[in-house]
Formats: sequence, structure tokens, C-alpha cells
Amino acid sequence: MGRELMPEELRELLAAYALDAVTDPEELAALEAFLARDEQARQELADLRETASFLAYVDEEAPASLWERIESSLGARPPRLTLRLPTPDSVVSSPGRRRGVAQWWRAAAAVAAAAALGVIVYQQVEVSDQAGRIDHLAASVADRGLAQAARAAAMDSRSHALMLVSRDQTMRAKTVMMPDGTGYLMENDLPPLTRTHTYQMWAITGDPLRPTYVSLGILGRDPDVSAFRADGPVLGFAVTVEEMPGVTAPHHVPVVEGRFA
Amino acid sequence: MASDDLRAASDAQLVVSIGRFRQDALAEAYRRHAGAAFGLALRILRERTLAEEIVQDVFLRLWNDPERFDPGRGSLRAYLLAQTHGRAVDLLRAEVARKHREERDARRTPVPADDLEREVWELTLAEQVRGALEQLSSDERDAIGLAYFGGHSYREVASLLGAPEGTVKSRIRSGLGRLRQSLVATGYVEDAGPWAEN
Repeated sequence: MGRELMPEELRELLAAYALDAVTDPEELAALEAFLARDEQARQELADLRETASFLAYVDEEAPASLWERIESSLGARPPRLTLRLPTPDSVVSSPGRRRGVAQWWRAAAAVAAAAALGVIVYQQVEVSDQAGRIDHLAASVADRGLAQAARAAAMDSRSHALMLVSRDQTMRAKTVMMPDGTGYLMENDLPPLTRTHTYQMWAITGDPLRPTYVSLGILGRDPDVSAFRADGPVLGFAVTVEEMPGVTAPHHVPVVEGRFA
Repeated sequence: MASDDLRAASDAQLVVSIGRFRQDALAEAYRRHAGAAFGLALRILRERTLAEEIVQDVFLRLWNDPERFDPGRGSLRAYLLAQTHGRAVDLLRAEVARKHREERDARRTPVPADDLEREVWELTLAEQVRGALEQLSSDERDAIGLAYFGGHSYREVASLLGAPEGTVKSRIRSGLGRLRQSLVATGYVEDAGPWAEN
């Protein structure tokens, strides 16, 4: 083909493309680049495919045995993963190792928050196989500190618990936050996600009528206990599902959310 | 969402449930759309075994990657049928289907317009869709039929019909545009779209 196609020519090709009737590699590459940069073209293609689907309006019944084969191929639910973070003793070095319970807990929370940030930075370096890297981190870290820190916070009389709930009330996630902003996502029934997505936690701040969502970090695709730190006044928390490696602002409606009274 | 509620759920809600590993949600999507997908694949490939493989692949992909469906871009039916059509056409064009296709090409060259018209009509049992197709010229129906059900590229369609490639592209575009306008008029789709005025 050689020359670059003009937008009008590419639009002319969209209908044939919608019918899978474009096979020239150069035309296909030009169309795909056009679609990647032109929202109107993408919508037009969606409309064309919607229209074409009516051509296939046939009264045919799929074989019952076919569903049985599909059902048997679905496989088991993926195993739950636990994102575990380093214990204070293994990461935080301090000349004096005399720590009271409260100080140990604060150190664990600080380490957890720093490790979560490190996870985010680490994952921004490599785009591929992000879920595998979280799994690797989870498997490589001791499991004592975070869960204990979360339980201690929950029992602390100064903490504030907040239950995040989905709109249909089918999913819940418990959060606990201390006065200094450290907090934990604890018991939750968030279902595991595919490897290309992650849960991300947000602090709801600012005007209650027009709140701002501030990222508190990604939680992985199957969070267990997770630590976070929220600085400043917080109206509540929310969790969204985002594409790996996470986003700077929510791209989707929260799957669970809660506001302090 | 309880299993009973899935029957009344929107396609978007179904896909959300599929994303939460609800097999009953996938079963409901299959109940709603597998017939159309299987019929389309069967029409293109003319072999039940191959058509079943295509449908199986399409629904397993829905299970594994539900987030690929964007409810803002169209219906789940259109999404599944586009997936079905693409895979069926790919298979049709592959080496293993080449022999059958050559036989069909021999039957189609030269192609009486009346035969193609009857072929397309056989597939549209809904009266409203038949009425929408009546709005198209025979040239438009021929081009769309050869491309969509024959698995031919627009260049192959041009060769089969003895028409310039640009003409065939225009016929496909105008035909789909007028089909959409008719479907809008009958309430099957919401908006004709800015391009359909051609």
C-alpha cells in the first residue's frame, strides 16, 4: 500500500472492519492506530458491530452438551493470597531495641506503609506480570507483624472502625484507623480479581458534597490484611477495582465505601 | 445477587457477576446469547463441531476476561457476536477450511443477486429485521452478505461482484448505515449515529 491513509479513508474502511472484512496488514495497522487515537471512531465501530449483530438474529439453539463442556472448563476459584509485609525486626534498624507494645505497633505500621509504597514503586517499573510480583512479595515476607498490628489497632480504644459496604450490601470490608492516620483494611469478602487488575484503596477527603479521593495504595488482587496511612481529615474510605499497576485517580465507582458519621 | 435475580439482571450486571466468578451468571449469559452465537458460527463455518468450538472459546474468554466487555460500547449480545464472527472468519480463512471455501466460491461465481438475497433472508427470522433489510439495495445486501457470512475481505467481495473496491466499501458502509437507521426506527437500537446519514 505504501502511503498513509487519510482519516476519511479510514472511516470508509470502518464498516468493512466491523464485518472482519479487512485483511490487508497495512490497512489493519492503520485502522487500529486510528481507533486508538479517535474516540468517535471507536464509538462508530461499536455501533457498526451492534448493527451487524442483528444480521445474525437466527433462531438457533446451542447444544446442551456444549454448556456442559464450557462448565467443566471453568476451573477452580484461584487460591486466596495474603500480602505480608516485613516485620519491624527485619526491616527497621534501631540501636535501641527496647520497644513497648505501642512503639512496636507504630513501627510495624510505618514499615507496612513504607513497604506498601515500595510495592507500588516497584510495580511501576515493570508493567508485565504485576500480579505475579505481588504474589512473590507476599510469599517472601514473614507473616507476624501486619496481622498482629491490625488486631492491636482494632482493640485500641482510640481507634475508629469503619465498615465499607457495597451498594447492594453483598460485599464488606472492615477498616480501622488510629488518630495518627495509620490504619488497616481487615476482614473483607472482596472476591479475587484477574491478574490484570488490583484493588486500590482511597481516602475520601475535602468537601462532603464534592469529595476528593486520595490514593492510599494498591491492595493486590486478593487482599487479606493491608496497612495504609491517611494524613489529614478523612471523611471515609473507598476501594475500587483498577487496572494494574494502579491509578492516580479512581477510574471506576467504588466496590465498597464507607463514611464516618 | 441471588440466582433467581440473574434472570432479571442486565447484561452489564451479569458481566459484573461473572467477574466475581459466579458460574450461574455465565450460565445465564449462555442461555441468553449462545443460540445466536452458535447460529452465526454455524452459518459461517457450516460445521457443527467447529461452530461449537467457537462458541466454547467465546464464552470461556468472557469468563476469563469479563473486563473486556464495555457496556458503554454496546450490548453483550453484540460483543459476543463480534467475537464469534471474528473467530469464525479467522477459522474459515485458515488452511483447514480452504477447500470448503473454494467450493463455495465456485458456486458463487457468477452470483445471481436473487440467490444472495434469499440466503440473507433465511437467517433473519425476526420480521422487523427482515423489514430493515428491505430498505437496503440488492448491491448493499450482496456486499454485506458476502463479507459477513462468506468471510470474504472487501477486496474479495469486489472481485466476486466485479465491482471496484471503493464501491464495495461504500456499499457496506451505506448498507449498514441504512440498516441501523431502520433498526432505530423500529426501536431495536437507540441512536442512528452521526455516520449513518450516508
